[in-house]
Amino acid sequence: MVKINFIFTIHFHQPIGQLKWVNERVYENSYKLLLDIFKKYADLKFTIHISGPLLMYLRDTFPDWIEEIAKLGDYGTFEFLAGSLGEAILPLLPVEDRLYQVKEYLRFFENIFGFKPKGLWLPERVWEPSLPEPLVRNGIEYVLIDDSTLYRSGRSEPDNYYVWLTEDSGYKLKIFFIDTGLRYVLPWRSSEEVFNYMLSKGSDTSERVIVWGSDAEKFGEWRDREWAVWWLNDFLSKIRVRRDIRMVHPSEYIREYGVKGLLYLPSGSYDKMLEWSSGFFRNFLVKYRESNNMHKKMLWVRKKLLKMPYRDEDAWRHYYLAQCNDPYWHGLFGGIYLSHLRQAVYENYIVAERMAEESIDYYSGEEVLIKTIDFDYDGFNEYLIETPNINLYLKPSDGGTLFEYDVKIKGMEHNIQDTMTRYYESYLENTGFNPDWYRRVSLRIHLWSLDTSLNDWINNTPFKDKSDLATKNYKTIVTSDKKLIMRTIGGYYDGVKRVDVFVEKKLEVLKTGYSVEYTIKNIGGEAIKTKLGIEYHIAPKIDRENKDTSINYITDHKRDIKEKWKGYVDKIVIKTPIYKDIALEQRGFDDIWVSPLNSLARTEKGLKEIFQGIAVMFIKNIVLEPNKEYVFNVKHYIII
Amino acid sequence: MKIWFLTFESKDTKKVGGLAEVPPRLGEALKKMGYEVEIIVPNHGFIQGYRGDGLVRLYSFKTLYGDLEVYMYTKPSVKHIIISGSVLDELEIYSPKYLMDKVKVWALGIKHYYEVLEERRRPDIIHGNDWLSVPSLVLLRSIDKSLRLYYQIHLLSKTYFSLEDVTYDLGLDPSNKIYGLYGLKSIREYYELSNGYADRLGGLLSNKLLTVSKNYVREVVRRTGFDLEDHVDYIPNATTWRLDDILEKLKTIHPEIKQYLSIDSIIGYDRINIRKYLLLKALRDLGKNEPIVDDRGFREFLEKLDIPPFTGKGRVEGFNEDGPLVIMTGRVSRQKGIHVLLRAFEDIVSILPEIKVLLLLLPVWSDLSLINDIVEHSILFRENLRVIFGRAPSIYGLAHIASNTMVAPSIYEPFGLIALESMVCGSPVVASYTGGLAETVVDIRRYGVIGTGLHITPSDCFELAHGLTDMVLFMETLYYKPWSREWIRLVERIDNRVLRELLISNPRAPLLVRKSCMKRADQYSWDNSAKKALLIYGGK
Repeated sequence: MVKINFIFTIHFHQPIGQLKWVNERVYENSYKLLLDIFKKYADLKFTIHISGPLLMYLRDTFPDWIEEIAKLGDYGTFEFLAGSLGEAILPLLPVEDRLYQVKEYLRFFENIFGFKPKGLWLPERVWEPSLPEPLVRNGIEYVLIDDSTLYRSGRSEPDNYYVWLTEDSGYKLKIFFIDTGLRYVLPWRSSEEVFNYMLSKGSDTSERVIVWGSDAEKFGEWRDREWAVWWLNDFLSKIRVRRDIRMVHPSEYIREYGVKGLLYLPSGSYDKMLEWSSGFFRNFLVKYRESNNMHKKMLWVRKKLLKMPYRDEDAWRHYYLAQCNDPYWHGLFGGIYLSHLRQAVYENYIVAERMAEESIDYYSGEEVLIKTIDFDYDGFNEYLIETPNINLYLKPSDGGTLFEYDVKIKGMEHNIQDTMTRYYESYLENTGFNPDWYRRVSLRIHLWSLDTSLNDWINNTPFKDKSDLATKNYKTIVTSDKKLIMRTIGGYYDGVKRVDVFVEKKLEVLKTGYSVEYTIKNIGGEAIKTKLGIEYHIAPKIDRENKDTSINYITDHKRDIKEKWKGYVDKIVIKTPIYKDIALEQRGFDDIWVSPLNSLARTEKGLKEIFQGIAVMFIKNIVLEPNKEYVFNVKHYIII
Repeated sequence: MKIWFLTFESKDTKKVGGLAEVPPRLGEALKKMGYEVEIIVPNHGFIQGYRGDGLVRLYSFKTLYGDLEVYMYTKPSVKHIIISGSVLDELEIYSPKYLMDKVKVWALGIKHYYEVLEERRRPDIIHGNDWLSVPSLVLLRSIDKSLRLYYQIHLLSKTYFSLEDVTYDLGLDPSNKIYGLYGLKSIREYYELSNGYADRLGGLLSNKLLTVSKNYVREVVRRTGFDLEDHVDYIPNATTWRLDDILEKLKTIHPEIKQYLSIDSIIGYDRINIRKYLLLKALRDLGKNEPIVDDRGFREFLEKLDIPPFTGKGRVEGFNEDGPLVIMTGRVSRQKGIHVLLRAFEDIVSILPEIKVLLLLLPVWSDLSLINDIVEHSILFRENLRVIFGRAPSIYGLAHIASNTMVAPSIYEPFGLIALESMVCGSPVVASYTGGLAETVVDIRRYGVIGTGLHITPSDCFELAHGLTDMVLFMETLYYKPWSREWIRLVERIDNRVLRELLISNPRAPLLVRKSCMKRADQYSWDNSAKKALLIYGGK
């Protein structure tokens, strides 16, 4: 008789910064349902993983659920898998962090459940060959990864139905392979079809094992609850009486059958992830500059943490939680396009950063520090302006723009420049969507054609910007009184004719913000009639606790954040009840455009607009006469 | 013994680059030793603009290219023979428009002049300089096989001649036999052996192939062919700069700082006062008609350039404040590594925001994008950078005695006379480790206070930024009391440990470096070079 062992692995995860009402909904729809099912089928063997961020949330919010889960663990229903504290993609992290992510998870888990698991759920199953060391040094004996990674090593079926051993630097790790085919039928097809599929992979010797591993939310959250309850009952009640399919725990299987042999695997993940990332997870850091920004913020904060005279667990915990993978990538669903997740990442990094700065007396009496480093590792230097209250990060090589504006004041931790660029996504083809042609950050200059409208700007109508100033490389000088001056000479193009334009941006740091004096000078000898535009993007603080919290901006009067507006005021104030007012003050312009910047993201419920930030364009309708200087000023700060 | 130097430019007639200095200076030294020397140059419009005496027309000839005239110019300490007429009267020395024609017409003029001389008045030695003299050497070799020809490469060229260039165009039959390294062969055969490459052809036809530094010999062999390896030697360049003379001259131009124009001041603290004067005043108030630019097109370009810090006609605003000064001199050319300095500039300013960089450059049109880049950087970094295109005698010497350091980031550099000029004035040099610069500059990090600067890898912006700022800071400590707060701050900003330790162990180290620079420059004299030349010529 053909037989097969079956490992049923359910992965529970919600990211750091998840909206409170989403967590509550998923708990109601899915986690509660699953607990009921587990209790009803407590004689079967399930393997479960609860991610670090979710475990923290559930322990604090639904301790009873955790208690019942622990009890089922004691009864032998579950084998638990460990993870990383922040559900971080381990290969993205510095080597020591990989070790600590797992160590901290195990410590936290042990505090609740009283023991340390021997297996580990790899976040997004992102595997790189250097992983055995940090895992094995933490006592981990096996991991589950996808069969696509096995196939990339040149192997094929039925090797994926056995456990294998791999090593790196002498650290031995056992590997189970999650079966892609099974993920496509369970739970989407009938129980019989699933059984048939499983048995088609079996053998007469009953030594093969087929592994299903996927999200808990597939049961109750992705489709309706009733269907999930029906399907699980049908599936589990039938499997319970089958003799040819035997539900096992991973450790039990290893004990009984051991490993098949040695193999080495290339980097990999599940099939879809390989498609989204063009074959390698780290490519997300290249495609999404915002992802790279967070990742390099991590490296920068880490340098400060390492200088602390002692290991402050609290600071490091914030740092590890900020490594939570979800906002660092994008497949079909939100990911990096979810602004509340990015917001939480920055909050945690900033808290850790502030704690480190305080501990090491980072400023030693200086009010402002200005550092020149290649922050984002692209080969060009960035300028980091740091004060005890704020960070301002500038990128001269990308149009002399500001790409990070952190508020570090205790309780107000927020990156006001955590805005998002809308990239090309294959699923947005034929939707009329034009990807952004530059990163949506602040201080960018445009010389628009006279017929340019607010919608042209937001929707990226081509060839409206007649100059190359927006993306020019700026030369930077730091003055002795700590002002940062960025200058460039760009061109205004009228057909094939080019007129040179000199631009200077002089940035002065304020207590909770900054002021920029813009000097524009036509040095080309021919007058330019244009709509001069200077672009800002602001990420207001999103209330993750309360769905109904409104965000407004005040120009001539209070407006909802969803509204577009054109007009003239000296000052715009962005208001939300959960944060201090954010102000933009201008001098010298004659028109202002305000618009929400929304991205289109694919969700399990179709295309959806996601608010990314408020976009502001300061406009001056102007004739730039040769050799005449035009000066403008914009102040951007939080009102304390 | 009678020696002719063939050179396309001379300091006494028309000058663009360093080449203009070498034949007259070497000639002067040889003349002092009792040898008869003549410098043969093309006119380049010199005669038409000359209003002085000592200029006599000797001969005129008719050639394929029109009428030519030979002048003798006796005002300089070494007699000059100027070939004029036709395209040779054009002002721009190296304009690509007629450069090759100038080279050929000049060669014909030299040949005619040689032929018209009585035998006893003909030279024993002909010393051609750079590829421009190669057609002349071909011609002279073809008319007198016993002539002792020496061909000296000051800068390896990229020029390839066609067979016509060196035969028919000079009135020569390619099948004519001439003597060369491989014995008696036809011009065509020597041409084919050289593949038309000018420097190799010059080498093949000369008694010795010469260059200007030991280090550059390797480069010359690599480019001209390994069969010439034993055929290559060098005569080092030297400088005629004497600090006393410079100071005396400056006293008449800048009487207001007369009290600082002494050797003691230059070595010691008062040097900073000269710097302040230069940066805040003299730079803004250049002498009347300065900068002097020969090229009409470039003059027009500078005329219109009035975006700050340029104020039109090639003049510039002064700096708003004093600061550690770096100077760079030479031609506008990528070979000089100006583009490397520009690429490193943002880093330099980021490390040392108070730095002032003064470029005193001789414009050549060959690289317009580089000129634009220099102009753009001057506009964008107006707190830190000034460039003067053309000659500005009122500040040239002044800049040398005011500077903290000179930068010579050449991609390659046969000799690099500018480094010696800087050292004469007690200013160390941050130089690429290449050619002559690898010899004249002695690295302080390796040799301590007997060093005369720092070496960097050619084209390495990172090394340049750090080396330059370190050197500048090192020298700047001289202006502060050792162990004062300001002095300590300067020392702490130096990136290189060896330099920091040198200062800590001896705060007077920069002073000693200044003296080492001066001593080092003294070693490179034209008298020594002349002795080496005579050894090579086998002269008595």
